[in-house]
Amino acid sequence: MHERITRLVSTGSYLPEKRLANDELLQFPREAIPLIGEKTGVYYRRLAADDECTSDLALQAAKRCLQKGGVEPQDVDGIILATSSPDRLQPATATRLQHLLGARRAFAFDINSVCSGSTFGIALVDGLVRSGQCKNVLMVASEVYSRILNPKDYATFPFFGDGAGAAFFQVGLAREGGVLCSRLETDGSKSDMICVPAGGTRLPFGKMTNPRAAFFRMRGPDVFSFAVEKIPELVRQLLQEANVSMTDIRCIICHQANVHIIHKIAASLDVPVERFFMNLAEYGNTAGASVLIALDEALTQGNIRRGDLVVTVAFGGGLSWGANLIRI
Amino acid sequence: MSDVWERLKSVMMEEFLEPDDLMIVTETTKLAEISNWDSMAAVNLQILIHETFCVELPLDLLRDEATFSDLIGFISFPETIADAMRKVNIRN
Repeated sequence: MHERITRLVSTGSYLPEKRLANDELLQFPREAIPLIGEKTGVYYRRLAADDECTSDLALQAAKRCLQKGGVEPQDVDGIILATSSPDRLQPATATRLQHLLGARRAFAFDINSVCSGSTFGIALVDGLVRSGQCKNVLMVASEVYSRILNPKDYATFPFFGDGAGAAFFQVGLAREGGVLCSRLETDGSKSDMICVPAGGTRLPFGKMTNPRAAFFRMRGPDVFSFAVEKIPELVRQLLQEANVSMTDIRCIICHQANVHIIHKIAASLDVPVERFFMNLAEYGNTAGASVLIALDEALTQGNIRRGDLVVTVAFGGGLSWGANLIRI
Repeated sequence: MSDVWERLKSVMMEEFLEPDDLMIVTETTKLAEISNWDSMAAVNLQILIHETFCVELPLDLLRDEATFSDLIGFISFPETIADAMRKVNIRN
């Protein structure tokens, strides 16, 4: 009996056309503009068009992914969509994606692990495939943060962008490579550190006294400290579990939140920062979608190839942090 | 002056301050003592002061060691801002 594995067949991504440079952020004081790049490494971001929503971005990424893999939508058993900026509070954004994609056989649901969405989603797909529940699963992560950010909030608006990534997984044999292991962590005691306070049952819009409560907020310095403490620890645990050394890892696809966080993580792991794939200068932080977008670009640009060992790792609201070890 | 302080506290409560901050914030509190104060928060405070009081306060005057008392002074007497900036420039 051969052991089942969750094989990565193909990836795709979609970034909206509208590209906004830091110096086009006219709502902020001119003297504050250079700080954006210096503090985070973000110089541009993409913004969804007025008539584009989260499922529209997801659809484009999903189509590109399936096309690359030579997969027909009707062959997909399940669709998992990671998003923290859904089309609507309900139903799941994945249901519109399923319809638009024409994946009639597929079940579809959302997960919300905020910026860790891609890594939690990969772990979930792996469970479904390894258990024999599914053979073909499409994992999509899509975010339109420009709609949930306060455009006047300098501490959040300049750093995020819209985008979507997708990965198609299929059952395979262990020798073919695939998702080798995952580690997921959550500390719910810090759930207020990154949140949209209003719009749910804790604070319905009707009971909101401060209009700013409808927007995303984040305690940036605390998130920075959390990430540089927890992520190296998580990656070490992941590699230990798989009995793999850091030198075996071709590339680390880390959540694209802040260039200085990535540099600190690299230093802590004693890994050259060049081994971390980065695209945040161009796209900013695309929240839950960043890891799948980066994975697709790393593959497309030849930074990683079939047979390479790759770590995907992310952190964000919850607080949640997760990592996957994948043999491409 | 006390009116400026009350308005400043009120808008800051909406934007920045955590409930715990309210217990410690006085006119002598330094900006660096606010939870999650950093250079991003300084820009947001600059915008907030401009929107609320129509006073343009340079970022150099929103440094970590500035107190709320300093801010109240600049908001109440904007003509002192230029002089304060000259001192900052000499120091730099």
